[in-house]
Amino acid sequence: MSKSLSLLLFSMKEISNQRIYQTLLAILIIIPWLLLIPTSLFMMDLGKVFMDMLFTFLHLWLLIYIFFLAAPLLARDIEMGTCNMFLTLPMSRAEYLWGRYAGVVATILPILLAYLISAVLAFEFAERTWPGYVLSGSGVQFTYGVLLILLPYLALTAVLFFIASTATGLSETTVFLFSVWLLCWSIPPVLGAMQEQNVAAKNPPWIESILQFINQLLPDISSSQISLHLAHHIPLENMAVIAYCIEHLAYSSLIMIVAVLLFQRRDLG
Amino acid sequence: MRPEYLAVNKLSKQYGNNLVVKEVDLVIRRGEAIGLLGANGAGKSTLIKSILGLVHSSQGSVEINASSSYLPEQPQMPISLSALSLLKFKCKTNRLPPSSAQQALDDVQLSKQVRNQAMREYSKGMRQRTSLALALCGEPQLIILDEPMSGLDALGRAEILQLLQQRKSAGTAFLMSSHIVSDMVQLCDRVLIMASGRVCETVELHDHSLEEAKDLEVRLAQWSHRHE
Repeated sequence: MSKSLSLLLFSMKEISNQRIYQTLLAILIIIPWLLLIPTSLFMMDLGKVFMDMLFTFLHLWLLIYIFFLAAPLLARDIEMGTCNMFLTLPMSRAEYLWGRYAGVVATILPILLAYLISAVLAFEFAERTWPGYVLSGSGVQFTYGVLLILLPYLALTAVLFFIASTATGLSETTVFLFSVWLLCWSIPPVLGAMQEQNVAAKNPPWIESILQFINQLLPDISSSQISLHLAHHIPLENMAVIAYCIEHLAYSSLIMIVAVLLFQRRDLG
Repeated sequence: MRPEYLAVNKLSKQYGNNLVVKEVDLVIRRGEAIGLLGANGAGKSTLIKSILGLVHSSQGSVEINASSSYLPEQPQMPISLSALSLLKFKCKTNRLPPSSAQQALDDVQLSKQVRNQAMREYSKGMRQRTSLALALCGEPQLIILDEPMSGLDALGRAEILQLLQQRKSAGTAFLMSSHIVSDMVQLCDRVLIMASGRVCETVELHDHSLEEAKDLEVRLAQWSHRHE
């Protein structure tokens, strides 16, 4: 356990020393303030549009982090043999994979915190500048939303580890992860549309069953209902939130356990 | 009798129908240095990786009764970090005193000015020295080296060889794979000549002379030619 913890800290240092990470951090501090410019065009719905845009950017930078920082780190470890260095320290394969996962997840936190602080300050500014158009407490609602939206990305990161534990390199890892991400985004809206009466009548039920099955296998990263509720200040049901959190944490743990099992069986070049 | 640090028994590794390591037996004791010599594709690296558990052996067993470390053929290190951070990480995971990191970097003579710089700015030779320092850090009892001199100039090779010889005199055991016969002759007590995954011949080295190196080269060429 202590080795995983050391690797967590080491991974944090390794990722945060990369220029792309530092650039992302700097950009995310500015983004909320820049977003006030286009959102001020929607004066009547300024608060809602601002929060929607902030959530959209949250999705965007979390994806950039996973695809351009986490995926190359892990793929390089396995493809180029950096993981051999860790494993011969020595360290077990399970310690290595869990340590790296925890490190990748923990390194999200500083940029998340920077984004949150900047966004909450921007909300404060908007509330004072355009009173009535931005509801009070929007910053708190946004913070709550960010923490909830983060959970599916922990699951997507676990999926990345699952893919990388068997993939041969960066190309394979990226292509498979992109496919998973695409399915995560596209299936829930398709399923939603299929449940409409006129559409459901025209489609054989087995198609919906297959889509439902695939949907169950993947994390729902769009978190559209959360964004919608919070942007409109509609309260979320506590039980639903608890179930949502447990579902994603359990999913992440399960996928990581499978990833460790697969990684333990593979030969490393 | 000196204690056995490594015992390999009938180790084989098969990829599909291709048997790349065939029933290798090997014992390394305290203070011994064993060389693995063979042409490219002879199975040296696969044997080393099987010993380290990076590759799962198809048959046979490996027993390591010592603290060990490994220097890979092409060290790939986290280039956004410095050599010192990397070695301190090893000290932390292996519960070694932090001073071991500086000591290992001193041993491989990595300049003090570059120790805190990100490794992306290092030359190939500096990365090789860092990797060697990582292998030597904490004074492990058994060190497995895969082409340790790769990327080093003649002077660097001589310095590192001297360091390895000092460690050997202090009781460290080595398993070393190399293409450079003269380096191997200077350090090793025994050399296993490998071809087509099999240990074809074990050569005992006595006086570590140039003649022995030449003789080894001739034997290697003969065995490689036979297995082509």
